[in-house]
Amino acid sequence: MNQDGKNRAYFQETFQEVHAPEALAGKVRNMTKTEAKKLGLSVVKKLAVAAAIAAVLFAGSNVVAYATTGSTWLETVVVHFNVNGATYDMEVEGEQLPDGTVQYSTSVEVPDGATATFAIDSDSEWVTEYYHYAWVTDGDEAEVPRTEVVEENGKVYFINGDVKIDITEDMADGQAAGTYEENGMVYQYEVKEEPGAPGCYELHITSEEE
Amino acid sequence: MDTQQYERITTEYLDCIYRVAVSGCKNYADAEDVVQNTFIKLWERDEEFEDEEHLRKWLIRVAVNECNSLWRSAWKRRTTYLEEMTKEPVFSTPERSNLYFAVRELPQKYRQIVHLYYFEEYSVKEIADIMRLSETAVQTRLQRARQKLKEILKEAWQ
Repeated sequence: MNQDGKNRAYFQETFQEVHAPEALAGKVRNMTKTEAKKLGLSVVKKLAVAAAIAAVLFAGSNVVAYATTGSTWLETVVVHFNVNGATYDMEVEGEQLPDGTVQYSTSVEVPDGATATFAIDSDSEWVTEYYHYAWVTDGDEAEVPRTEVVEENGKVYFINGDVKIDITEDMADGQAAGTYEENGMVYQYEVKEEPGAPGCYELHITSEEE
Repeated sequence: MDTQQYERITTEYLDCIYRVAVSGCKNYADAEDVVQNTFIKLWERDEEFEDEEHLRKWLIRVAVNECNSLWRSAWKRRTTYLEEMTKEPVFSTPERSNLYFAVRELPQKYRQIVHLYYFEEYSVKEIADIMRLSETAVQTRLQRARQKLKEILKEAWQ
């Protein structure tokens, strides 16, 4: 027998001693077609969490510049999900969009009737300041509302999903602050122009509960 | 698929799929999920299999894909050390235990290939097809896996 053959025999003798645990075997053997359908296909909703972070901090050319130099400043955030008591940690990398903004998004499947919560960790303190989440039916994609500061026709607007606030006058001194209401929650926003970086803004959003 | 067919297939292939899952997952809890998901997909499949080899390869391919979905999504289930320890297999000889744990030390992308090559006796071409890799990639990973096993096991691995 050649070397490979000997290794193969060694490997097979070893792994033939590995067996599925009896509890698992029982679950699989006793799974009926109805149960398989229920387990595999009963997901009716997803909790889609999207954090659009750098989209706001580095609106404009800064993001593109980082990407083209190869600097990997795109952070990984950790989203902690708790679905009916079972906990899952998910690392999510930022995805750079064609317009230069960065988006983080993920989702978890939630069985019918279950509850789910989440929390986001990141090294940057601003990452957890705001995020969007939505319940979507399996197969649908949650839209990430845009959160950004844009300049249009000589005016400056703060945009967060459907919320659009004219902050032109406020920004006369390079910063603006205010509140807005969304889905029954009141949020505070703060916008600061990046020194030496025209068209780039720093944005912070916090809910009044925090 | 009727219940009788399903029972026959689970009896025949449960251990096979469990071994593939263990080779492709970080922990035993994930491996068990992979096994269950694989057999759920078996129930969902409407088409007949051409023959037994087709069925086997299909099951293995599904299990490999399920393992890869776990890695892609970077889920980390919080399992306890005790849960993991109670699921470690017990071997009849120290040599077999050494090989098993040496394989567990390999990076996941090597472990599955090594398992499919040495245990399931698939060719490089077949493994490339199952794992949707190039034959070169499979060959390279197999060589690196052999090297690593040699480093860990010394003379025990030829």
